[in-house]
Amino acid sequence: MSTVFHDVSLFLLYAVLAVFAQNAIFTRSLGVSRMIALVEEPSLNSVLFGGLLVAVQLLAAPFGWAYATYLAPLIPASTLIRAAVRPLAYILCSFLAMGIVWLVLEHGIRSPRCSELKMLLPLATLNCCVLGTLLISGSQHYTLAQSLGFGLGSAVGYLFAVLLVTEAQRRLRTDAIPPMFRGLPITLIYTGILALAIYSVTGHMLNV
Amino acid sequence: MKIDKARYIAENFDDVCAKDRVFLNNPVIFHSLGIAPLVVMDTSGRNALMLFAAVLLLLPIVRVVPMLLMEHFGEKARPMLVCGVAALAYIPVYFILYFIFQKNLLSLGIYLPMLVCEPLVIQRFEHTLDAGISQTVRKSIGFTLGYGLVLFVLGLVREFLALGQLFGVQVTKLLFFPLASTPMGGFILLGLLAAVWQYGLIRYKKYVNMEAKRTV
Repeated sequence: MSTVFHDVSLFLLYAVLAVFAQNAIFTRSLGVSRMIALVEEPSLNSVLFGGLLVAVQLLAAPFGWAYATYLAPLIPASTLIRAAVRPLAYILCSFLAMGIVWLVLEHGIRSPRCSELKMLLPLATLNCCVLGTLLISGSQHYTLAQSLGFGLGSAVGYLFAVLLVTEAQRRLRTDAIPPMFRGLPITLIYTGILALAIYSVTGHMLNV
Repeated sequence: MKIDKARYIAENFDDVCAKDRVFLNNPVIFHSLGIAPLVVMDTSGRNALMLFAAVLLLLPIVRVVPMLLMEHFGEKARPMLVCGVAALAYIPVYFILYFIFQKNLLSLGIYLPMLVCEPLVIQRFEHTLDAGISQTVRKSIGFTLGYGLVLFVLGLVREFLALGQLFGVQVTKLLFFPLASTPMGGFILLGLLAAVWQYGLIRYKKYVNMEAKRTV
């Protein structure tokens, strides 16, 4: 019973940490190019994208954990092969998760949004946020509960960042912004200031 | 600038921009590609060099190989094909990079393997692969040069501002902006660089239009 409670606590703790203190966008810049594309492209539904990202991250986390725990140790650490095949292994984990989500969308859900979801699925899966989260979980030797919590939190944190920057983008579409700062520059500066706000809470070591 | 050239550029400004992938249509500034490694890991000239070498080796393979294999796979498999090729190409690329940079390569952390999912590298999965090989290679070289330019400018500026160094050589003991080595400093400095770049483009367009209207 205490083991279950311990694992659930770890899951929740890592999920909350990944949403705020270790936010994928603001602290690690994972998937920031895709975020800017989402923010600037009104035809892409950010919430649907976020929902798919949550599903893919949650499903890919156990595969990534299984690779890091059982398969990776079979490759000698002294050779470079383990480091060289790391992205391939985690991409395959993402593909497996994408396959499961695609099957659910194809056979399990009857919704008019299914075709839109299927169109967004590769964009959500082949995202630096997914691969980056798997790489971090693997290199930090997270347990299954930690990997699941971190995966869920990263996806929710990513969606949170996308919504925050989308709202900012809407407010920043004004003539008060000089032409040279419009678009990417002001989005990046705004994201940097938000990242600074998060670091002011969590702290960061400077090379001083 | 010669009047004929100015007139040609002014009349075909969008086409001229589309062909130039280094300054007028830079992949970072105008397409928001490859931002994650720039913001987090591009903190010095050495890191910029390693990231540039990785993109230089990876990008042409990821652009050309899926195009050759596409006829054997369905259109639906395109994202998996492009990303799979990137992940497979990463294996020899990693060995080459390790041979050149040795343990320094480890300082790039997860941002080196993450290149296989970076939109700069796998952008083609969102578009049809119908261009010719030579055109694709030309485009990928242009993209790499454009990305490399931003990598080196930002990396050297951040190294100078945060550590007072250039390529590891101490230039000054004054640390002008220590925050420059952090991701938030990266976001802010890249934003400022993009603003300066856009200002340059606006001025260039004005200059070309003025030259085109010149009669003497």
